Amino acid sequence: MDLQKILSIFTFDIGHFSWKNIVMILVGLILIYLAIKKEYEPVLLLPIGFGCILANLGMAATADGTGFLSALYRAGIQTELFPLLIFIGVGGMIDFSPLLAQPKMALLGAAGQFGIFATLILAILLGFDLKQAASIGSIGAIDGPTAIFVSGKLAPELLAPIAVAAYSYMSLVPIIQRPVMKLLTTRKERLIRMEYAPRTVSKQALIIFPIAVTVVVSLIAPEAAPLIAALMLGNLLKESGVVDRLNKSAQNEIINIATLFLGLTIGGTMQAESFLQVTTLKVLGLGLIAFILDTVMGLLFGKIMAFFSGGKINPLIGACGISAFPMAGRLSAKMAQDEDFDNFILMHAMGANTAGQLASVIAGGLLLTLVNLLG
Amino acid sequence: MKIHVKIQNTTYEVVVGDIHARPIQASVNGELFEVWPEESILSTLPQKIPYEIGATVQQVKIEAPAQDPAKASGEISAPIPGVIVDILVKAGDAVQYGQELCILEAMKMKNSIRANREGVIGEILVAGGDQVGHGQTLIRFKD
Repeated sequence: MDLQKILSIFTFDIGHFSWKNIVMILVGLILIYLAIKKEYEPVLLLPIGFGCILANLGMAATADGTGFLSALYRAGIQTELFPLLIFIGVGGMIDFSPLLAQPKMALLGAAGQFGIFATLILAILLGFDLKQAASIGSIGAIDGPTAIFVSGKLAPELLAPIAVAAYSYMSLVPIIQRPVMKLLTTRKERLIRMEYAPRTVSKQALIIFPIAVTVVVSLIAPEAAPLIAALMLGNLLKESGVVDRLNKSAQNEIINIATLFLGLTIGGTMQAESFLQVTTLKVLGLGLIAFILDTVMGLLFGKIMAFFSGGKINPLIGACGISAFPMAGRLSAKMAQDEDFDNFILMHAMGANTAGQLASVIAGGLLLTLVNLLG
Repeated sequence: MKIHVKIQNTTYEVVVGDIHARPIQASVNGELFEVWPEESILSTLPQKIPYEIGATVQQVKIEAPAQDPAKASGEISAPIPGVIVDILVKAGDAVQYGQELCILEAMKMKNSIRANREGVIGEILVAGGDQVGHGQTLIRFKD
């Protein structure tokens, strides 16, 4: 019996294993390294990195494949189930009271979505078709589940690079946003103090809000309805105050299980043949542009609001209209404190940040509607 | 970074911490200073930072940013609602401007509440774990 035959019993089809698979296994190792060593969104990058290694050892996640990653792919990515389950948990973590106390922050959330649409146009200019361009633009939502939801529907072939871009950039919020924020604001602007004089938000308002948003958004942006419904269900579980067990499960077990399977499966789609392409680099580059454009637009809008308020609004909070909840909000608050330790703009920043989160989901729905209309 | 500065035949050993942090922590012959540099110094003279900072330390101990005299009153209040997770001073402690007094956690972010004036702590009105409202008095100065 020759060696080749013995080997073939124990290993998978070695003929399909090429240098490209080795490169992809290295990519997986880099993602795992970033997760462990740099703690860049480790709960996602670690399973994605491991899934990437598996994908290149014959265990890829595909729509018609066999094996456990393919089963997970069909169960949770094709059906859009995983991002929605994650959103139920995210909804429970969001406190909308800073936004409800200062409704004008909603404007910053809207401004922070500019990058989505600018990037969509850029992607079309670079030769992507409308569905792919809209999916790439969704990275500008700076919200992993939204980007996965949109691209899973429109361009599943780009799912892997889009998810990797969305999640790795989200973890790089301080590194990407800080220089843009420094560049576009003056020290005087960053020193603007914002007095926290909130209206008191009643418990009724906090309970009615998620229900009302679900109804309104489902009517005006039906494509975003499942995402917003999941997010608001999670929020209602928390605000109702009577289903603590469900709320805790949504914020822990459900989101953790869904995150693990989502990351692993997305990693499982990172096969050498589809990932090692120039397209991937273009997606990563465009995603970064979307991120920066969102930040720039949010900041410019913050500056406009600062101007019209007679210098009462610190434009730093404009940068958290991008979503990336709660990292962007914390960064704005921290940058104001770096200049003046007695300046607390955290609640304003969180108001803008939660508005950004909502606006991202709605913008994701608008992308889907847009493609339906034009496509 | 560690540098030696010679001023009028006296050599000072200056150790400067992270220059991107505010305030910059610097020690001169072992004595700790907090420095708030003017931004123009940082942006126009990056290579001379150590010397500029060394010189600033000689003149002013701690340069404050736009200080609100009304706020530098006899008490420290909660700027935002949250939970007190740690108290770093006790009654009778003499504190410096900018010194960390307690940690207030809000929106899952830890916020340092610092002294907006020099003085002696008279009374601490909250304990670790307390939920505090916006504007609630946390600490009173003695004077």
